[in-house]
Amino acid sequence: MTAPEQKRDDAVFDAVDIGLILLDADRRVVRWNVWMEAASGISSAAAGGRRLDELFPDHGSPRLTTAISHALELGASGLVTHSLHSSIFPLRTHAGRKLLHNISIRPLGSRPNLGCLLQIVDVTVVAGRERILRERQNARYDAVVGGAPDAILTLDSAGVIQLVNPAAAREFGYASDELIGQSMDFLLEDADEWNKAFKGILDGVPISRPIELTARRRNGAPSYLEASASRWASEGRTFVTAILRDVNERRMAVDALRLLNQTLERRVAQSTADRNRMWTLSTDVMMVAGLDGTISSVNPAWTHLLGWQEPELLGANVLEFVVAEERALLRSELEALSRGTAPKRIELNMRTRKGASRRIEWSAVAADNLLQAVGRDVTAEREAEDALRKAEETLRHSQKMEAIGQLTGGIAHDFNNLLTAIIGSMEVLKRRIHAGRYEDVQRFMDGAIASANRAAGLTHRLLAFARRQPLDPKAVDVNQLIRGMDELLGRTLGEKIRLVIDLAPELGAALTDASQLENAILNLAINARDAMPYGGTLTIATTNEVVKAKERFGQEEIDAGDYTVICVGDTGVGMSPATLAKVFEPFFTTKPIGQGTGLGLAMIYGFAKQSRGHVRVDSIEGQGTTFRLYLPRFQGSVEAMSSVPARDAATGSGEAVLVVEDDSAVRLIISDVLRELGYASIEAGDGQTALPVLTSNTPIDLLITDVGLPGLNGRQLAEIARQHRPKLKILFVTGYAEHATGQTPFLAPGMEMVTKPFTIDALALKIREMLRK
Amino acid sequence: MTTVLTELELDALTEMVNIGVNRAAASLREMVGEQVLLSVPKVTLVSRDQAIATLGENEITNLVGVHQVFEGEITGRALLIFPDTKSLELVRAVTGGELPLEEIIELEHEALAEIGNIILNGCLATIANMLQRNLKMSLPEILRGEPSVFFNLKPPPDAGDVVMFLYINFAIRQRDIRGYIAMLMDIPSLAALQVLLGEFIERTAGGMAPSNDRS
Repeated sequence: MTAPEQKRDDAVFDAVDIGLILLDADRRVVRWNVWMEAASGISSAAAGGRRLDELFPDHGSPRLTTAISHALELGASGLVTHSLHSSIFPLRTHAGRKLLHNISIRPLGSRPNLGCLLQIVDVTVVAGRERILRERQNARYDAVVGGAPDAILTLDSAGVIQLVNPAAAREFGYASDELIGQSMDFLLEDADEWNKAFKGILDGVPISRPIELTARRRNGAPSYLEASASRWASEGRTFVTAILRDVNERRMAVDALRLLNQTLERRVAQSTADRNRMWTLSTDVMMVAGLDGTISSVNPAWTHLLGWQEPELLGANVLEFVVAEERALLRSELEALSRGTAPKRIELNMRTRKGASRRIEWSAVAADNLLQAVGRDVTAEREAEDALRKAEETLRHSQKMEAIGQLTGGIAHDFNNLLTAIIGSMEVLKRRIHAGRYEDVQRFMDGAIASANRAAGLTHRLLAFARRQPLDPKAVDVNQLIRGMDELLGRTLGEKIRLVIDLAPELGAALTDASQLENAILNLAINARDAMPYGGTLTIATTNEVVKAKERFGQEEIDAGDYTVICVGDTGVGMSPATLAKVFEPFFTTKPIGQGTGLGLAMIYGFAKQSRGHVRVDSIEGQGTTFRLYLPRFQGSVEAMSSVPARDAATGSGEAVLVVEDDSAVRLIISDVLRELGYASIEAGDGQTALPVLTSNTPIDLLITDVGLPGLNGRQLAEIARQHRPKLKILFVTGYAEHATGQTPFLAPGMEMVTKPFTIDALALKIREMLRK
Repeated sequence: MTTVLTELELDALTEMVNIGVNRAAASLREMVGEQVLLSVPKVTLVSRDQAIATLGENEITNLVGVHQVFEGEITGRALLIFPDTKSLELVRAVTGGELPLEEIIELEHEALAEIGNIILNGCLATIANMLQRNLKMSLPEILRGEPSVFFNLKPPPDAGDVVMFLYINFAIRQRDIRGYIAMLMDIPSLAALQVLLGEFIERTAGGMAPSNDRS
């Protein structure tokens, strides 16, 4: 080699952009190029003749030493890379940064002049670029894979795990480096499905939907995973990345749901069995039918109760099993149900197979076009109810008969007394007249008339009790009425009873029926007398009382208002509270049978109520009893009480009176009275007979007619009469005021009424009043 | 094929290769800082097609190889070949297994080149040393592809060639990685190798002849 050539080679040696170190066989530096001077900071002169481990005492590597040895001893070329050796020499770039490098070691020359050439290649830029790329990739990777909640495994094409994310380590309980290098068989209970899918993925068949895998964790616990996977390639190498989603929670939920479903089935089966038992065991008949009544299902009670067998019932119409008379009822109920009407209970007589019937109470609902009905056998119940009703009726009847017996007994007793007096008097009169002894006649006649009047009063009271006696309420001066009864009372009470009369001087008039009031007072006085068998004091007093607000007294109420009060008190035996409670009950009496009707106080009660008044009773056993009779105050000016006129004080002047009465005795008396009073009378036995007279031109001033006539009755006759003679005055006579209670509407103006029995004076007065108006 | 190594020669070769890989293992151990075991069960001589077929076993199609050329009295190509998945595993094993996959993929090229270089140099240098011959070895080069790629490198040999084929097992960090070492030689090189082996056996067996005879 010439000198210029040598020089040129040296220049090339220094000009190359790699580091060059030439070592001799003793491994000492022979050449050290400019690149090495710049990178190591060691000049060529300083490096010359020295070994590398002297130049870089803390660096180098056994690998480099070995490679140099191989080169020098064996002629082998070696490579030492930064990838496996982080830094071999402490080299810097011109900018002072760490210089990454690879070194190749080559033998140079031949033995014995063997040398070794080290070529140092700067890979800083390449490694740096790779590092940046890698970091960027790693950042993305970490963001996506590192933070993913799902386990992400990357496997190579042999199925060996190459990469795992932190979630995978958590999922399986192994550290990352324990997982890497394993195959999936290591993790899965049964890897068949995975291996099949893996093979498919490698062949480019994507997983269409996640596959379910069961993994075995490090602690042995199973874990349910859902895997999706796809392949990717890098430098001709194929990888498969699998995403394993932990579906344990979902799986547990599914398991729980499945369990729930299973138990639901069991529960449903259980309750179905329960219902079936009820259906089978029920003594009530049960049925499912169409809304037209076609039976689709029945329970065994049909057979037990009615005798029908299931095959006879199924498909038949329930109407056929109802007695004919009640089919219409059922049909209309079925129609109502199919219209959606709320179901109601109906009772039907159902036919039994043996031709009898049983009463069934049905309750039904319609749903889903089906009728579901349950029927209870109420036959025995209804029979018991009927029996009870009959027993009650019998009881009531016997009570009624007993009451009638009591009543008739009492009435008969009173009437017999009166009739005895009347008949006795009349017989005495008859004998006296026959004998021509007239001196005492008047006394016996008065006695007979008094007894007859009392008999009339008795019937009057009975009717009042039955509230069929029209009252004739008028303003009554009660004080005057009581004073007029003084003598009667004295006679009634006898000598052992002292009578005290204490009348309020300014007593207001009462609105009531005077004769009823008189009866009531007399009745109370007699009761008081009977309560004082050994004598005592009877006090009759009157007061004005004001009831300020509606008051209650026991069961009774009294309206607010002004009242005139009559008190009848005795000093007798008094009454126990039990007796007191029943004192106004009809037929209640403390007297022996036959001695009282038991109606006295009841009649007083009825009279007080009818007068819009009230009766109160206070009694203390052993001290006496006080009755207070409240009668409403008459509101308005009190007419002067007309004194009873004398019988001969008014006579007629030949006015014509038509008398229609079917009872000839009564007709005779009325006609006789009319003639005595100076009227002309025309008589008729019934309506038919009276009609021609009424329709004729015969002048008639007054029509007196019985109400209860055979054929055409009194009211009809009066109507016809009024058509012909609109202003004709009409006086009705009635023994039974059923149709004429109180101010009955049929009494038009110009019509009046008298009730039988009547006194001749009362009749005469009424006739005179009417004809005078 | 006219030249076939005898059983004895193959045994000698196997022993030499094992010594070589053990030396390489020592180098790797220095780098990795952990036990590295390399073993080569048996050397076989096969044709190129047989070699391709063997590599194609187990449906492995993608292979990674480190290729070096050796020149001297025997000339040829040395190849360290792995299924591509195993090569990653090997790199991971050598680098410590804590790097992310992407980084390993990046490093694979250089790291595999160096690892291959260590192993192939170990084998070739040991063989050359024991045969007392010089072998010049090139720098490693990474090849990828299906099996045939590795045995049809250009330029093709002038005369027919043969493949000295051997399995190599790596045991690093609880991992077992199996790869292949292949040496492609033309027939003259094989003949030269046979001569060298004969000399080696002569030398070695010289002191051991009696036992050989006795056996």
